[in-house]
Amino acid sequence: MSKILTLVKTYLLQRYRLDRNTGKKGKIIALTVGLTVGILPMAVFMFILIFSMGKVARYLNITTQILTLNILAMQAIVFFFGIASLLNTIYLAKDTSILLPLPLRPTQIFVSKLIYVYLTETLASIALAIVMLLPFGIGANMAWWYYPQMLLVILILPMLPLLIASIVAIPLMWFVSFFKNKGVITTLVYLLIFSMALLGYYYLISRLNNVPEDGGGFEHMLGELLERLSRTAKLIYPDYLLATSLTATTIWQYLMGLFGSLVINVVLLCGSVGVSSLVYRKSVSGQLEISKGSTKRDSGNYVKRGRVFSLIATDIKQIMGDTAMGTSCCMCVVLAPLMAIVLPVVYNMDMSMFVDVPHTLIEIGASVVIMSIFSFMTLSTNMVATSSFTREAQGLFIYKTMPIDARTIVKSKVLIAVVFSFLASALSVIPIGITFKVSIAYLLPTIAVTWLYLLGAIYLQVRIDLAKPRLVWNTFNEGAKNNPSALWSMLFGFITLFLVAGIGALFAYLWYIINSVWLIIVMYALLAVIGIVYTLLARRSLYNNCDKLYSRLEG
Amino acid sequence: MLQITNLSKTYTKSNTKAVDNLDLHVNRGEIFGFLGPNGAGKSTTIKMIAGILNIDSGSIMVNGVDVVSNPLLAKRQIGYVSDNHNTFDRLTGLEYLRFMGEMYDVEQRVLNERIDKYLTMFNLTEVKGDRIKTYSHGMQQKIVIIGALIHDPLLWILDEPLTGLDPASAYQLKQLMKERTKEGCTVFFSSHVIEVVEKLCDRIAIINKGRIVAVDTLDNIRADSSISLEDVFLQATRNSGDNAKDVYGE
Repeated sequence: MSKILTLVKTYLLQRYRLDRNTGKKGKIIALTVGLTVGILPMAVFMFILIFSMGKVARYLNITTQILTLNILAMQAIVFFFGIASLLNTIYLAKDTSILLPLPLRPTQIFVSKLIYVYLTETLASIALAIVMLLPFGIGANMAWWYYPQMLLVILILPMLPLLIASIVAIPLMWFVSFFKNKGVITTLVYLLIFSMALLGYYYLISRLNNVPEDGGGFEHMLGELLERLSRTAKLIYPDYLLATSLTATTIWQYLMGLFGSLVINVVLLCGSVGVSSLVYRKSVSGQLEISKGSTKRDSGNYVKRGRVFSLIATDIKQIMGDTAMGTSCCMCVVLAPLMAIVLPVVYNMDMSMFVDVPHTLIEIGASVVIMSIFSFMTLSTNMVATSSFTREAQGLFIYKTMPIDARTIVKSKVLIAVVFSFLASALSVIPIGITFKVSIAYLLPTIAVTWLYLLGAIYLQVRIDLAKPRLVWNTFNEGAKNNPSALWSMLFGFITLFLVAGIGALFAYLWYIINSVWLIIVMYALLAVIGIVYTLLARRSLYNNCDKLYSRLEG
Repeated sequence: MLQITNLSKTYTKSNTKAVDNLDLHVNRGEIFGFLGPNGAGKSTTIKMIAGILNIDSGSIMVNGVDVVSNPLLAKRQIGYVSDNHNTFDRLTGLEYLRFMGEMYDVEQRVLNERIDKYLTMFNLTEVKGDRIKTYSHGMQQKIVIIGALIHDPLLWILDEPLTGLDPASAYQLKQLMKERTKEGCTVFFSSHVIEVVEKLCDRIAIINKGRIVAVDTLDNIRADSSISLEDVFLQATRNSGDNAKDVYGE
């Protein structure tokens, strides 16, 4: 046991120990404060919502059932974050090659890692409990012991999702392992899975939107809902027992709830540890095998195509060959068109909805949506692709040793981002155009203006990234995490969205009053002029400073 | 001390046979050099001995203990230094060594003595309280080497140990290898540096394409004292192991 505890302590130090550099500490504190301020309004909203839920549950006498579902919702969140954490900590961890030669049983390593994930997920549970259990208790006017009892719930709550995650992680890890080092194929498979998951999610939403209305009146519907809630809640027995311990009115009920839930969770957890640790040794060992023969043989037909082309070709191969990077960079190409196809279907948006609206207004509206929302989506999902220098990591210094000027490298980086972004926006324009029967006369200037803003944003993005890239990282997620240039990309997206949407709304309103085609021409002209100025300024800022900024980069 | 019999390993993802029916015997108290070109199977063999990679077929015995059926006992007798010097870099040097001591159940007093001894030997005493991530490449390598010695292993396995070490530290390491063998321990190391192997090793093995193409003492392998080990190495690896076993040594 002492070895397991030492291992857990080491993982915690390795993961959470702050650098002694006070500057970094200051940044972390600033980031935490920034995030807190950003998340606070949402947290307050959730607090009020759950508080009201508590009041309603009390009124309808279904506190235990609602609490069960609350706990389940918290566990779902723990599960989704937990499974990623489990995969990264247990099966895909960098420290496996350090731990395997040590005289430790595979079960010891597995259990220590599971405890580490459990501790981190318990921290997440505390935050969730503050938002989801505390306001519920206040709203439902729970007895005083509800609040100290919350602490025990926080400790028990992550067990169930983690045990499910540890089982689910086995086939998932085999899948990851199977596609590991398969380069482009893996990226494409991941994108396909992502698309399928997104389509499935929206299919479910569309089904929910199309639920036939009940003819039995409000009371009948409420009765039906309560019955369903009770049945569902009791099905999730460990959670139901846990909720019972929170709402207990007698000590016997309390003890039954608490210990019942604890025993079920611990027994299930032990079972899953048994199963998982059996496959752990073989699985992680397989992860360490380096595939050397899977790369495609070069045909040998080399054609000289120039420096910029070679830089772009190498960059694309590097991006697509790394699954995490490739998936992130292609996300915009998949996500934006998919949303353009799926959203109108999910929300039943077709031309029949707008029978009373003049068609020109629909065309203006659709064009503005393309220019604002989809360009924002393209930028925000494409922020990784545009964080060009960060993406290079230490590999950037290979270029620094070559006789290539900064301008050429910057040009190649801009073009890479242009390829991904323009492709995404062009693909999303088509379904929107078809759905809303937007004529080519609107689509062409819409695409032109969208590309103009995207180009400006790309110039600016590369400029910011070049000023302070995040070059030291081991995994792509580590590199993308807290990348300031990626966050700036989102901010520019927001500004573009508000600007274009504001101008679009203003001209749509003016057209509704004046009804002149000249207004539409002026709208596009105004947007184009702003776009050209923005793009030229951004371009100038990038190319005028690139030599100086590039020379400043040090390993 | 180390007995490898019919050892094979294929990387399933690429269908590459990294180690092919390998037989090797390393005696107690000798410094054994494991030579081979890039991709010959040196690291794969070492990783299987250390318990990082699974064995497809064959067996590895460390001091009479099978690494597959009794891995914990086998690992207790091995001190392994990897080629990538992967470590918990947010720990301080001292914390890392204490961690290693704890994993190998080294008694507190003995652990402190060994930590002091090796830190002084490798000139790391002054930086023992610093995070490993702040160390230079060579310093990180040295702390990993000390970590592998902290439990006084009978078999010391080092994968490319001299790469990146400054001359003084390289000298210290070579001296340490000699001292270990005088104490009855065994040193098994892989290297690309033929001169080091030539000066240091009692016996050597040359591996190519996963197969042993030569194994013997340096003098026997050279046959003719005018031929350098470099020539032998180049010739043996050029022959790709087809019939090199017949030509050199066993």
